[in-house]
Amino acid sequence: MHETLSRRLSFVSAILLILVSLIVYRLVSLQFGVDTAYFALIAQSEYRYQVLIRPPRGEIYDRNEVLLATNTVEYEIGMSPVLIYDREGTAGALAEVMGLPYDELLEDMSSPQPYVLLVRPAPAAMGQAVMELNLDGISVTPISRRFYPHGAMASHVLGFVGYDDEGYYGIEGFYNEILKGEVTVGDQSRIPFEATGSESWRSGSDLRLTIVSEIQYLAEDTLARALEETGAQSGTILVLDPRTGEILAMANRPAFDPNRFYSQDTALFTNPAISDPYEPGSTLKVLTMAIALETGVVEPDSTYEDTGVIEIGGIEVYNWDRQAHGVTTMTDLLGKSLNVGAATLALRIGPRRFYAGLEDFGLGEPLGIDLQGEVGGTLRQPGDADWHESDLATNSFGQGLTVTPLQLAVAVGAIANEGLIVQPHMVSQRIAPDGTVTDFEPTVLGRAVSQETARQLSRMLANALEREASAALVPGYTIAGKTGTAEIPIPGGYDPDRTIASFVGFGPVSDPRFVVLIRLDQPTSSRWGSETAAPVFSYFVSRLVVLMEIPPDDPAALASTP
Amino acid sequence: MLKEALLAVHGSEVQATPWSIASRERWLLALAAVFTSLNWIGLTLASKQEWSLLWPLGVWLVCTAAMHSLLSRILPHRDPYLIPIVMLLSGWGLVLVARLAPPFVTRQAIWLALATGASLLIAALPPGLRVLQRYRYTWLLAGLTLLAATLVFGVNPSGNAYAPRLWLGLRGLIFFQPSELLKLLMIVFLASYLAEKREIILTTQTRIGRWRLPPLPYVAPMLLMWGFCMILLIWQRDLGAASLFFLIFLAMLYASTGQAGYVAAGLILLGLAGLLGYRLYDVVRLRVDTWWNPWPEADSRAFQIVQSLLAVASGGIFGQGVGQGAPIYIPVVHSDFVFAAIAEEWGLLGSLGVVACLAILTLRALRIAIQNARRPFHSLLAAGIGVSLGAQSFLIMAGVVKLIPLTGVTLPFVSYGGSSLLSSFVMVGLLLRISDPQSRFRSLRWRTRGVSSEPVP
Repeated sequence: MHETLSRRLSFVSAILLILVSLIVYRLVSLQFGVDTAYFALIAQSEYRYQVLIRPPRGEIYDRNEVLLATNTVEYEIGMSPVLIYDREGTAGALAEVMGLPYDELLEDMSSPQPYVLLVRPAPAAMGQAVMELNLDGISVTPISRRFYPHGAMASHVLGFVGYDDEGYYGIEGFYNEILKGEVTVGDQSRIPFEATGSESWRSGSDLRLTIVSEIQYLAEDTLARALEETGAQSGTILVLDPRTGEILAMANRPAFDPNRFYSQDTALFTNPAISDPYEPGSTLKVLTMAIALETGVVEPDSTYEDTGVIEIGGIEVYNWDRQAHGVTTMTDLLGKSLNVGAATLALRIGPRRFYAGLEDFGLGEPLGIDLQGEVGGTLRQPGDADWHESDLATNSFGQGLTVTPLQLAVAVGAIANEGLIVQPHMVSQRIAPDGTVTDFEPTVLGRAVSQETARQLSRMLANALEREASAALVPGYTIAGKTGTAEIPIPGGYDPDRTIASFVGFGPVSDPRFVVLIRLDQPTSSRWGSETAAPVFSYFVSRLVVLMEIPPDDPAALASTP
Repeated sequence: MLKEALLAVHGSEVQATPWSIASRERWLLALAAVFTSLNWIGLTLASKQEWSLLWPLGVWLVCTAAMHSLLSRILPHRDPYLIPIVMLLSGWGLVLVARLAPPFVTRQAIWLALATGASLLIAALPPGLRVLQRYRYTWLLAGLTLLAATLVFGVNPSGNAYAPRLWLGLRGLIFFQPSELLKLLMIVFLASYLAEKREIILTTQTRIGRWRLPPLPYVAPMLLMWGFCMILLIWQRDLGAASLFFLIFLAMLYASTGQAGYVAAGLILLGLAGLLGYRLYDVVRLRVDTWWNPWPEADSRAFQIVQSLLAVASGGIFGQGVGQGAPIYIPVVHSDFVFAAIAEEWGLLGSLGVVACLAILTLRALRIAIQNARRPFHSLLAAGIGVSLGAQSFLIMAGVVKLIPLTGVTLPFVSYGGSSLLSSFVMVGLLLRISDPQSRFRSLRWRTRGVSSEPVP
């Protein structure tokens, strides 16, 4: 029996020898055989590796070339534990330079993972210090980071750049493709001093905004003071040039720091000036009056009988003071901000012409500003399922419809601009990497009212402020404007206590250079726009005219113009 | 041939054997020591390490000296090639762990000392090995229990939650892989079972037409136990170990019964299992796809095997030199892909050297089996161990050079891994024991006195 066992075992040995010869054949053929063709191919990819070449992102400047967004280098520091021979020494050195706990570093080094991330983003100083240590198994990789030298200033305008090198919100989001340039896949060599394969990438373009840093700063500072003094929770100040649609400042509080987007409440990223529609309240009476004048249902010197109440579609509309004001002029309607008056006008205009007029002012649709995230507000119209006859009355004094601060400022801007609606925009120039400059031309979206109506209404608005001795007045300058105290809709009606106080105005009336909108959410010092937003307007504009170098105009001269 | 040459020198085999065994082993070990030491020093210089990090070399030298001197007393007539080969490979393995995964070198050195001790203990067992033969069910069930325990308590030392949990951990300090122990215990079981039952299996076979079927009552217990092992391994997704167990089983079945038909049927089954696995397991599909054509996916799925081939190819004939290559780019190079690192840094000569060492080791084991053909249990045990070491080496080396799909098994003695080292050394202890059937160890002191005057039976 044992002979057969021996014979079989010899046979098993022979089979194993055949297997051995197969491995030997394979080892030899890997050195000299057919596979070598592949190796030449793979060797290429070994010392040349594909990288995403991200060209430098375009920088963002303000109107006067003040730098608002640029690029900086930070570092990612990590380690490959298996490549570290001297653990204690390495951990000691890193602990000293990076300020990480020694014990944690030692623990990381016993990780079986091929790569352990230590710090990202590490400041440039730390990255360079670690690089200089030149430690085995420690890698320091430069990463490009967006840097905003002014911190939170104009953060809602600028937006931010995420870890994925894509822009989000504001200018960074809207102009992402232009700022980013052309990201290409290129060959990079691992061999030092060897030229990289492709250089076909294109840098991003620089952008010059319409914003003026000084005005932006003034707006933010004013807003901060206003929130403190009025106890409002949040607010917006918007400044634009009515003739060109250029945004000179767009300030919101609370804001965020785009340098540290990763540690902030994401709810702060949206820009209330363009993304947060609200019921504007009495400021909308400007548009109601404009439509009334334009359609000819009233003249600037018309009067109406104010009985203190008017019934439309089954609801009764009262004035804010619940008083009857008797025979009232159109200017007093605006000055005293009478809801009964506005509703009377809307009734005379009729729904079809009223809503067509509001649409001509740009309500209900986004205006197409070059910022990411603009919305259009809601404007219910006859024929819509949820439109009710009473809406005509409430809409006439700015309740039951919503607008963004931008929409209202642009609409009132049309009054300042002889009836023309100009598309608002943020970027004045685009500077391509080769130095080519592209200017943005103002775009007229349409005519809201005639030149005559616009001029008449400007004078009425200015006179109304004068006659009421409004807190919005700026000594030496003629100002046209309107306060607003909007009730805040809550389910089933309106909040009895909280309001949105606002003021929208422009000046100088003879040659309007600015439209300013002030919006204060839920002020506690007073619920009235005339007592909260109007003084803020005056404070702001009296400084704005200095920054814009606008000479005072003579009120008497204004009165004598035809 | 060597034997004849030695006979010519010494005149008679009886006189020559003890001395020539000791001296042959001593010379070969001296060569292994020179090789290992030079590589350690080279590595220390290449990686600019402290000289104090040479201590694992000291551990290796002590283990080598202990193996040689103690076994010279316990088993004077042992096979003289086993220890030099095993120590050379494990020394080389220690250099490679220091080279590829420095943090693990302390652990590997401790395991080497433990493995050496275990090997010596096994070698000192009485020549009959009845403890193993008689309690075969007990041993195997103990092994199965440990393996089953990994289903509940299993961990993976890498801490990766998705990696197979094949290890048992003790306070996170020591990890043991029961499948390594089970492999050994299954060989013991099969050797014992087949040695006892093979005649009855062969004589009572039933025929259905032309087909001869094995008698169920006699093969059932064996198939049952073996089936348990396979089910547990497949359950654990330890497919490398499962294929190895299967090959060992087929080889031992063939050696004991001579039925080539069983082997053919088994190989067909293995093929079918492979097909099924290809459909069911992502890992099998990955291994087969990247074996068939890795080049289109060199950057992704086939990264490991392509890096391995590049490492082998960049080795050339003489290699890059220890510490001079870049084998670290191969994932898990220190365990499964250690052969690729050898091919890169020691070149074709180094890799052929490892192949030669493992081939000689396997052939010596089979030769020991043949010499012990009159003792079926011992013969089958040696054959099983030989096939196990040989098949395992083949699976991983052939996988690394893309001859067959990859199976995740270690390269015996060389790869990082304590359980593998321990079970491999215990196997060698058994081979040494079987290779010297007469010597009986009683006590060291007694041997010391009697070594020169002990008559050779």
